[in-house]
Amino acid sequence: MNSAISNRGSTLTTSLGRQTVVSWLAECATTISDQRDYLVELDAAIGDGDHGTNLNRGFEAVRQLISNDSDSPPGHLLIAVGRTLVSTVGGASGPLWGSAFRQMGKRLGDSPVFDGPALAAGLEAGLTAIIELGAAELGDKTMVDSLQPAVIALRDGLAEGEDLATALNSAAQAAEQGMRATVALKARRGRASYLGERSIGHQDPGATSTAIIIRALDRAVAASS
Amino acid sequence: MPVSSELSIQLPTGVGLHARPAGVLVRLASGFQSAIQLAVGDRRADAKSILDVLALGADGGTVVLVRADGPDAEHAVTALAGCLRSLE
Repeated sequence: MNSAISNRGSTLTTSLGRQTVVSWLAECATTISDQRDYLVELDAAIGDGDHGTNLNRGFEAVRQLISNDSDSPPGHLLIAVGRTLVSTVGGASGPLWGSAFRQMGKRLGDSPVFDGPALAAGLEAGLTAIIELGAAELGDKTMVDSLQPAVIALRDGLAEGEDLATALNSAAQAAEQGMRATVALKARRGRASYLGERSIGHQDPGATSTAIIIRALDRAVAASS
Repeated sequence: MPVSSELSIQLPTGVGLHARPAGVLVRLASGFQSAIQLAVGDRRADAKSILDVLALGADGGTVVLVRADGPDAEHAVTALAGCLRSLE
């Protein structure tokens, strides 16, 4: 995490804090609510059809959480978001997103502010949690297919000296590209894997909501810088 | 007083550092203060970074060198070696 300090100065000009996280979560809640029926439709094809409804319920609870919390540092807020998602989202995505937000929050720690590299490290901690819990890897047709390329794009963009807004836009594009690439894949993890070959030709709902969540982060940071 | 410690471990046959095993290892490594590096031949990975560990692509049966530098180096290497040996 100290590498954050030795990294490019340009990333430090964007000061991120509690408000960034609040805007991100609010943007997640709004977009997931808008896309709820689309996610339901994707999940009806290869899962049990409740992904949009479940995630929307979770992020509505998160919206409540952020409206009742006025002073937690960003890391603590993300840990509380993780707890909220675990208890309100059903299916596999509750525990997966719950642990991801929790680990992200733990990585950000107690500080009131963070920078681009710290955000990248936080997202990487979230990815670790999802990989560990979901036992999925790239190509399994899961949320990992959009999250992992996003974290790589963010880390590499920042390492090459891009400003945070540019690197996050690349990350969101990488997530969306990974999401679209799940159409051609055969599911090897999660409920869709029961369908085997029949899962081919359908975009993965988890990879889709993940791309939505990364795009929401891009928008929240772009709006605040 | 920073110290360093290292140990070579052969991964169990058929279990590489992919997916869950990689996630388990990274989470364990992240709990130590020491800097921890994995090496396979001349390729290296930060044991606290899932992207690094996945990029290492260590398959089952591979010999992985675990090296730690820092105040809890010895403890970290023992724990990680135990984790790598017992992967399933």
